[in-house]
Amino acid sequence: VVNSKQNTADMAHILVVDDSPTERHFISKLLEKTGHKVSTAESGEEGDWLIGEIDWEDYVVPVISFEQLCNQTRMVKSNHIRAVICYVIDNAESFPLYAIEVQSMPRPLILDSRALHNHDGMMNKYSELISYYVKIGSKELAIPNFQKLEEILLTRAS
Amino acid sequence: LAKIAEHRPDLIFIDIMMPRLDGYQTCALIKNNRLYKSTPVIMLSSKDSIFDKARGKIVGSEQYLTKPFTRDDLLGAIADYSGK
Repeated sequence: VVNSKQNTADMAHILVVDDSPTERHFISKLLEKTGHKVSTAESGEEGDWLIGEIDWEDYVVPVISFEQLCNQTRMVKSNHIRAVICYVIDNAESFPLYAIEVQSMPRPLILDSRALHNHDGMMNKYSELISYYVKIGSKELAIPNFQKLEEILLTRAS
Repeated sequence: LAKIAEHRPDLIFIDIMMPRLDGYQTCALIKNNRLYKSTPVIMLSSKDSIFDKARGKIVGSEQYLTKPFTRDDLLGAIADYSGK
């Protein structure tokens, strides 16, 4: 029997990771009944766009997979991951830098704004993460919406 | 990791048998991360062999609960490891 006067400070915040909705529900309800706060995840992959961190100079830099953030399969071609380190536009004190995983050697390209376009055929809930598409040779590339990326990171970091 | 960063849990229960990234791999990801490795992880499994329990220890979990577990098992783990 749970003491209804139990101090909320004594209650824990529990994360339950289970692919079975029945078990998630059972465990969550049981813990919530005893006053604990419960969050759930369907798998260890959920939200796994935050793939690690890099110690760089005096900062701990979060590394994100843009593919995973857009709910696409992350293409890992080797154990050697390259990451592009970006300054946060809004100069956030909590994390001034973050990194985006890249699968090939980054190279600068000069783009004419006329080459940029929206991709109407790919409108979904992840569309807000992409500012524009651009065609380079035969490949169509996505340009991340960095402001949105930072908003998501700041939300997670706060 | 994003879920942990978002919710800042005091303790994590992880089922072992999950498709793609299983509970052992998920626990290892947490325990290899400097920011989250101090968060206690309790493995939940219907596997009861010494090998499975040892594997849970190897990846850094604090405790291994075998299904079917009781309400008291869960609450006991919370009391033991969350400090609450």
